[in-house]
Amino acid sequence: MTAVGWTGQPVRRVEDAELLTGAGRYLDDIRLPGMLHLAVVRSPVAHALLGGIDTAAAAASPGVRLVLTGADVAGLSRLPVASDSGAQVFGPAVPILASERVRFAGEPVAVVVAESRAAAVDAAELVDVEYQELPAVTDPAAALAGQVVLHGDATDNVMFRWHQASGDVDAAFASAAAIVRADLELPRLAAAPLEPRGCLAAYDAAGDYLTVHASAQDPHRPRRQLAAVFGRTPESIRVIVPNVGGSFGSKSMLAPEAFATVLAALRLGRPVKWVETRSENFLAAYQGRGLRADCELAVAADGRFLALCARLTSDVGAYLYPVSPVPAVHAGTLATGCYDIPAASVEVTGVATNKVPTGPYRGAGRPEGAFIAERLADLTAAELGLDRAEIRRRNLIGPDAMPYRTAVGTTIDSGDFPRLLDRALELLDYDAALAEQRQARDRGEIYGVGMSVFLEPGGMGLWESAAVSVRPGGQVVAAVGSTAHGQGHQTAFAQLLADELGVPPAAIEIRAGDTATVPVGLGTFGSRSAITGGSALILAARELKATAIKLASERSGVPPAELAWRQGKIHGAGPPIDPPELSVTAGELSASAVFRLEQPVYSSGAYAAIVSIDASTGVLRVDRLVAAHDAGKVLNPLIAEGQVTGGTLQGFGEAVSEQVSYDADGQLLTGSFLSYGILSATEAPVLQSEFVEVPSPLNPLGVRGVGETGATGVPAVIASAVTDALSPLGVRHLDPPYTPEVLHAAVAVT
Amino acid sequence: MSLTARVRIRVNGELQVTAVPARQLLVSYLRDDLGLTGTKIGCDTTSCGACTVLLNGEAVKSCTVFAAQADGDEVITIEGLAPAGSLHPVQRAFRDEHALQCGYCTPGMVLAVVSLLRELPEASDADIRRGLDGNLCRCTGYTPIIRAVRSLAAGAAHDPG
Amino acid sequence: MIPAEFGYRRAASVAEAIGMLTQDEDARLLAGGHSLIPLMKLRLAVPSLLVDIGKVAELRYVSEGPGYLAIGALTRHHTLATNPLVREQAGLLAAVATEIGDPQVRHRGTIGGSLAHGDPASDLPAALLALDASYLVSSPAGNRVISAGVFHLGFLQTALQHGEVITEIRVPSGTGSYGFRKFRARSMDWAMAGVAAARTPSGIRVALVNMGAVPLRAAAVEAALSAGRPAAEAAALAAVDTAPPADTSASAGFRRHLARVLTGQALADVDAAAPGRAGSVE
Repeated sequence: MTAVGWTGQPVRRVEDAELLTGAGRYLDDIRLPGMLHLAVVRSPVAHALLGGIDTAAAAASPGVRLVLTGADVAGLSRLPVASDSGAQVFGPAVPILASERVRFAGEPVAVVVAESRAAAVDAAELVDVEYQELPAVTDPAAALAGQVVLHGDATDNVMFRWHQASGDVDAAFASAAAIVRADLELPRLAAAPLEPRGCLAAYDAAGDYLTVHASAQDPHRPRRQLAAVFGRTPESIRVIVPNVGGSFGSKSMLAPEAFATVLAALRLGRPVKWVETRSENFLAAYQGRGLRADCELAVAADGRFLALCARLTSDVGAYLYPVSPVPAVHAGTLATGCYDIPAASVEVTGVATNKVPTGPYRGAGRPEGAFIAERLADLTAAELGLDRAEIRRRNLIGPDAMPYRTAVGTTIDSGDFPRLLDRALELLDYDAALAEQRQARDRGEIYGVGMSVFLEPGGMGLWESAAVSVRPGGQVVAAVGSTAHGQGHQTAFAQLLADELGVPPAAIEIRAGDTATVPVGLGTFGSRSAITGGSALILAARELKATAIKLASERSGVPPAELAWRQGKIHGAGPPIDPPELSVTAGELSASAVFRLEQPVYSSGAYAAIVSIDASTGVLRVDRLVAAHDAGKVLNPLIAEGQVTGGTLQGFGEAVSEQVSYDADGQLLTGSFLSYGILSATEAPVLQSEFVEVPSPLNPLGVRGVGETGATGVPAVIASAVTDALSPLGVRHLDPPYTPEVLHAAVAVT
Repeated sequence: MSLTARVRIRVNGELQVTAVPARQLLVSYLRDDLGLTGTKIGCDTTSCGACTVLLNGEAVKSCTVFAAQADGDEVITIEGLAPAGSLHPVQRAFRDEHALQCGYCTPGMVLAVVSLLRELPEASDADIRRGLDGNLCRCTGYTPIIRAVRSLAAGAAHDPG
Repeated sequence: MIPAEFGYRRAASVAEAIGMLTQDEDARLLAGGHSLIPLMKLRLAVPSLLVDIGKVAELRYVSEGPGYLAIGALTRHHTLATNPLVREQAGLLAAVATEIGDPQVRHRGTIGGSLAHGDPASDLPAALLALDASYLVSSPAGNRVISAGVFHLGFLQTALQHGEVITEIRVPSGTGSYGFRKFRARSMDWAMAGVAAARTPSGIRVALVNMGAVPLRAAAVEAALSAGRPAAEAAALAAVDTAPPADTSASAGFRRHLARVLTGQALADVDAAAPGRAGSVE
């Protein structure tokens, strides 16, 4: 690195000017000549046999060009269910449009393509579908009992299984001084990015070339999915990801509706756009969480954790999407939290229900894992009469034990968990908070102090690709596989390259989100971009410098050791050489690199909170919320803090407000922003947080992930504080969300 | 009875005289007919505020106004807030405070803030939070947005957090 | 979300609007549109014709009438919240309007539109009930005045006949201190439950938001107060004869509990403020 030192500075985002002036281009902002619009006909019922579908009236409606039903997609390969989660998978293939049977309310049954969106919506109302209703099952426990089986060939509703065990769990339980039990549930959540899902497909028959714009997290995974479903080569497909209005995990795969859109474009030879409404997003975009955990922790008399036994049930929904097993398996992997637990047996079962499928949502198993481990820590403290900070200190994995292989089989590379906890408690002034709590309780107030410690593994997928080119005049163009949808990659990646290449960030253009300009890539998910994308860029930049020096040496005869790359030029062989001059091709000098990881990089952090509850209304007030994060080396504190603050509100929403609800018939009850409780500015808590920078040894930047930190630590800390507040009333545990009614009921029963 | 309506609407300073379908919402007129795609659609229930524009100087949700209703009115969209190539002070404050991430709620949020500060130039923190009630943001946690508005609210209490 | 097709006519006056409405049974009046348009987008309302009175200037005013404050039906929530006359003479309405929806909604939504929609979760109808307001209604047959107490007939049902247009809201003079409390999990939400209380010349009036199919008077509370019972005791009767809804935001039981708590708070606000002066507005 040069002395310029862009990295680590709070550089303002280069993305912003465009987005602030309305010049951003999101999916629905793109118009192609001759473009048609697609509307989706969705099942109004959660479980039914499909009778006849009469499309005649819709097809005859003004402006309609095509109506597709399940019969039209029969020839396609179905969506793959393969998953690299490590789970054993039983789910049948996912239909693009339902045939024979619908399994959740909102499932796509037909699509209508017309000259205008209004014409498509009008005609969609005319598609007449006969539904022969079947009993629906919405509760995972009932689904496991198997009275209603969703998938015809199966004998039960199990969609996947995963089990990890090591150490002598039985012996630990036999010798335990106490066994702490917890039955926990985290309800389903909606990711609810402000921009709903959509895609725009165009097919050039002459060149047999398919171009798909998609509101997605990255272009390469969608291209692989399109290639698989349509039996095409990846080279014949270009996927472009324009500006994306948030995703939070929910655009990790193309929606079934997107494949129907592509099919329509292939059939009609005209561009076809599908953009869902918010109502459709609530109905049919995969949801997050939906996890039950039945846990037992064997504890020694001194409070040491001996063994964890946990059975997790994931509410998969109607179909197993490729991404569906990921969160629950992650939760299982992280169920031992930051603690040194020598033995564990964790099993995860994914269950089919008549609801929209689940998949990754911000944290994707990390919040669930932290919730399990932290609730068990609090409950152990209560059981043994120990202070909750003390029980954690006795069990946290120490920095000298790193790297640490957990009993669930994952290796934590590095971290200093006791330091993070201590720092968070220091920021809170824990002792003063406990003293204040005693006084508040004397006054009859309901006052709680909470804490959480958590892990945030990042870098999953374990590789990323990048290419860096220098053009005459020092202009740098870099292409990287990880694509931003709000994370500020253009700014942060330019900062990294500016230091590595000695050029100002303004001279650097970061390209992403287009398979035509970024030939190879994996994508953006699970707090991975800085780790994998950033490292790949640095490796490519280093490769570029080495190549330039090698070529300059060959040309000048000066040994490489006497040549140096400074401020974008090669020095040491007479006048500074502009690297593109060394290139034999196309006036620019390029290099590419792939960064590979052996294992995920672990971020960690600790939160502490003070809450009070109004006894008369159950209203929860957050009086203090503090955090210490180890995100490794921070590339841009403005952006990193933004990730923490945003994730914190999502985590807080999960704790107090957000919950997807269905009735017993499988009808969605929380189908709009009016009923699904994402929080507004008035409810946003004030967070005081700081970074404790412990560089990761697993990547050249020393970075760790930061994207899911807030979402991961906050539900657990609010749970800790709320149950502490209610503990004098005999409350041992409550599941979120801690709505006024839930808290009032907890206060009122005593 | 007509399924269309004649309208004269001044949009970003330019008078538009045209016929619109009666059922066309103002947001669709701005986006689809005028190509002013900075105005976004984020919900169906008048909740999220992504479609906020200034109608006669006041923030309104253009998803809940028929274009026909805006006859004789003046509309400012995000494209017309500041001269091309420059940023309005609210836009600058958003950039300085990192008050946007994905940017989808941002045009509506910025215009809501412009309207708020016109009505309450000395908005307190509580005023600011309530003034943003009509705009949802899923990325920022609002804190940086509140900070950005606070930096513009003359005489606002500069309390921490 | 695109409404089904409909016809559209712009009325230049109340008389013209009434004429247009009476020509079509499925015609609906369009004021600010903030109750009707959301329903039309979801195709829960499919009128054949919209008669737009949004630009009828004669319906936008606040003035002093004989013994009452006269508020034109097209007066927007934002105007109610900020108009000096409303704040001085009907402070409860200003306080309520300040907390309706969000700023954008307050810039478009109108008092007449809110009343005509007849949603028991709306705040203004309950406040007007507490104030013993009445509504001047025009129709081809002439004008009539409907008092707030008999205006709401059922969920989204009012005493308005087809072709009738609310033109003016009359709030009797002489209202004293007041209190308004509404409870919601998020400030953007509709009231889980709400209470408007006011000291009127004929005693303390208490009305409830979202506690039944229509805005309700808390008759048991009022009776207890007029019998001289302490406010806290009276407030405990707030849920008597209510039929609150149950949904994902709250059970009926919790709403009843909230009605009692909020009534106690609203009555405390009424007591805290000196009679004849504005009560506790934030």
